[in-house]
Amino acid sequence: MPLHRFASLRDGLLRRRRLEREMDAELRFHLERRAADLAASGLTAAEALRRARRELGAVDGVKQRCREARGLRWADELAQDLRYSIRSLRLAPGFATAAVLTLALGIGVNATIFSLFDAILSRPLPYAAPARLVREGSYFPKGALLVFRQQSRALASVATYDSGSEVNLTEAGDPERVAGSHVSAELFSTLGVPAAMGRTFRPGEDLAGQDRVTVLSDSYWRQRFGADPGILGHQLTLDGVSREVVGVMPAGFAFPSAAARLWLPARLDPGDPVDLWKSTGYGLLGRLRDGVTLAQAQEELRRLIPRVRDAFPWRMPDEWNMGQDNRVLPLREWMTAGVRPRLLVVLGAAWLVLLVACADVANLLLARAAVRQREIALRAALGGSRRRILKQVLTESVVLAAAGGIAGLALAAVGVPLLKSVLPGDTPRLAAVSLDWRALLFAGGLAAATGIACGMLPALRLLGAAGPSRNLLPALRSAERSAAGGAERRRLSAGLVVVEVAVSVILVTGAGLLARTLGHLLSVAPGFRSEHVLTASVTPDDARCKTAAQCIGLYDGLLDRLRALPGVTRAAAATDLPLTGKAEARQVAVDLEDHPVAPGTPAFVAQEHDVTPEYFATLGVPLVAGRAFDGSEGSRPERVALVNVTMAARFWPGQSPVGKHLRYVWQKQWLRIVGVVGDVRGESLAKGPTWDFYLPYGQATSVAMDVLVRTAGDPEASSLALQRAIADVEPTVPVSKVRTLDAIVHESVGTPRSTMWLLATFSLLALALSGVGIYGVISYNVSRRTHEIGVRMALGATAGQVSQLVLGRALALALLGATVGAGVSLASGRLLRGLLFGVSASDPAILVAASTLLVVTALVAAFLPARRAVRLDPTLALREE
Amino acid sequence: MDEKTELLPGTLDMLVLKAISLGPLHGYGVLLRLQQISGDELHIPQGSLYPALYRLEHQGWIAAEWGESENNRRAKYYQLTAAGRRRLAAEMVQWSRLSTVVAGILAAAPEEA
Repeated sequence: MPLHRFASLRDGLLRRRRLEREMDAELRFHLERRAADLAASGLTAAEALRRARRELGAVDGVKQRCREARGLRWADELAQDLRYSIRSLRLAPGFATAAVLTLALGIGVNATIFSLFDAILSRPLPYAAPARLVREGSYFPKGALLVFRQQSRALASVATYDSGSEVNLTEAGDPERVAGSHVSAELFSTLGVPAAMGRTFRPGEDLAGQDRVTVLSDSYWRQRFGADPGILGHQLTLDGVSREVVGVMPAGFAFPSAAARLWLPARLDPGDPVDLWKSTGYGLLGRLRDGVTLAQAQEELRRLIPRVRDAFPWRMPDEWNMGQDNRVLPLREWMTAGVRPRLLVVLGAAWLVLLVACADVANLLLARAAVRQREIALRAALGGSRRRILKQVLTESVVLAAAGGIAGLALAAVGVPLLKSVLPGDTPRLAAVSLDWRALLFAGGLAAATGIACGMLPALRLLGAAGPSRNLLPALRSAERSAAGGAERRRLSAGLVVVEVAVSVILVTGAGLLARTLGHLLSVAPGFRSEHVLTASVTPDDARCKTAAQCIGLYDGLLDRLRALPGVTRAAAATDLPLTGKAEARQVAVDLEDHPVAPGTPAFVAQEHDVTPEYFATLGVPLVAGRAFDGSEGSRPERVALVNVTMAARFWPGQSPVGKHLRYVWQKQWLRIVGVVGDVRGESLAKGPTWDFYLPYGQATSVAMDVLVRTAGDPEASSLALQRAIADVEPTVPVSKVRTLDAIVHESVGTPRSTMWLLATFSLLALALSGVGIYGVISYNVSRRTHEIGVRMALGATAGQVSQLVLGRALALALLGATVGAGVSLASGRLLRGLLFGVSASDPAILVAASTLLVVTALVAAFLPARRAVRLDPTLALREE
Repeated sequence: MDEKTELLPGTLDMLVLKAISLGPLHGYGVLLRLQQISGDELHIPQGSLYPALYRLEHQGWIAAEWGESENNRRAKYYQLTAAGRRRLAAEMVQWSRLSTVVAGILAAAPEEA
């Protein structure tokens, strides 16, 4: 639009009053001058004024044409439509409230889920040119970085990091266990994020001897050091090693996860191959060189894996060389791979809720349209153009949708924080989830779209009833129940209810399947007894555990003290507890007796756990064969181990593994297997047992251990006593993660649980909306058939027959909807398959239960109208026309 | 009433532009000037005059300003803009082309067989 026309329009809109005043003044001036001129030519004053008026024509008409000339017609009409809509909605408060609330639910749910989806899956990562960042393969030993640094051509820069580790901070005050990440020096420069204060690591600072530096996160700097601006240069004692704070990262920097509060150099010492190659929890982060494609990087990774394998000081375990895991993925995709399918399911469910809400509102508008049919027909007859009437009806639904959108956003403002608190804390990028302008835009767009979509149907139908030939008489004459249009409307509205029921069945089925999944997970026998067990992480500094004897002494003393606590029946320590996510990191490559591995073929990988003798009794893990540890192993030269049932059955089927041997692939000395213990689900309840072997604490010593006690009563009650007892014996050793084993089990299914609750909530909403929809349709049905029902009653129909008539209609709609919904559920079940455990996506019991639930809902919703029908007074009903 | 020539549809805007091009005028002045130039031969529909002025102003061809009229009344004066001048020139060219063509057609004599 040319500028001057825009300016003219702007003036017309904003200085409307002035425009009107000027128009008045101008026309008055004209009339006066004209009258004066006419009077001068001999007419009387009154005659002259009349004549002048006649010549000009109707002043209002002239003014209207002037306004139109200024392009103001649409604005006038819009204002008129808005005023009219608001007035007529205020006359129907029940309808308006129902429609706005329904839309608010649909839009609120979607704006909430959109915020989640947007922050986690769609927004670019907050790093420089994030699209060029890739994750190379899954996990490597940190030694792999040396190979990539030297040989990669596809990557402009490459760094390694562990996905999360913990260190002790012993400063003034209580010792503290802090989550952090060990990273190679080029991590920050690869991400392209500079420090907010000070600097990040310099090249070479990840080499042994030069690594006495650390970088803090903004939140930790604020929380622990009160945002001290003089923190740089400060020495922190981390794991007994003094390190200088060289930098503080900007707020919001959360790599590899929001849990990381500080960063330490990953010590890379070519002179210490065991340290370089034994740990397996490191990831490789790369920045693609300009012009290099993902496919080329993938090709290179395939070539570099054998080089990494050659660089191993011992045979590389098979988990790292099976190409399958080793894909080059964009960093964002890697980070969100775990939540993506779940989020998509939730997003889909939110859309379904919106669909039900829309159907509900369309139905409400249809019912309203039927009532207003005469009014509309009258307006058409009085010269309202079709376009104008259509616009008016649409304006009303857009007004409703706008109100619904605003209410929906208010709902989302409550929903987003609620959702964040329900989701498991380790959900990637959860901190970035917020209701921002994108969500606002989304909700606005959604409101407009639903307003138009919901309003279009009744609007078109209304005009259809008015007839394409503009023959308005039939519509004018048609009482609601006589016209053919009425039957069409009823079919349409019944169809909408069927859609609502079908969609609800789909949602309820999904929620049911997830609930069954959760039930199955929780009823899996984990191989241990989780009740009455309290656990805690005990993490001494390396300095406190300089020698094995010191370490053994520490835990012996600690466990003795814990056993002496009132209510504690057993106490033990272990390197890791089941279902805490530590099991994967305990994988080691082993040689097994009777199973020689040819050179060049992958080694066997099993999980090693170091435990004190009472561990199995405390957890309730049975001894199946041989003997358990007795506590004297530390003083005996022969090294021994226990294996679990699955490992025994895999490698020594049909014979006793007791007396067989195993060893680490990098050691000469064999360990003798002295017994077999029951299987424990260590990684997750859903995953079957792995190959596990246990070493007696004393022969294998670890510094950090988890302690666990079995209590006679409520384990929670011993929590404080346990912490105090440890602090008594070892005041400098941090104790963290004090929680019951039940809580650990509960937390391990946090993700399926939150998905289940989300879907259950959505199902409930859909159910309620469908109920309202059915109620509306049946109610209308009853009032439309009042006369007929009166006749039937007069002819002797019983109350039972009448209510059957009404309920039968609801039943028919519900059954049709349930059938369609069950069919769609069956057909689309595979979308959920990845989230299910122990239940098939086409589980007939759940499908039947979901359908039944909807049918019952329909009957309940139809109950009120049915009662109204039964209570009709036949004499009054018969008079109804 | 005397018989006056009716305006051709669509020509009022051009005539208004022309009238204003001779010097700033208020609305009633436009009417007077057109009547005067046409020797009062043309019927100017007064009801259409003001919408035409507003239309021309909205197009940016004339600009309005409040000023004092001859008898010290406030009146809205219209004046041609540069764009209006160009527009008038273009309309005049087109009009003369049209009238030539129409006149040519009307003057055509039956061809000799």
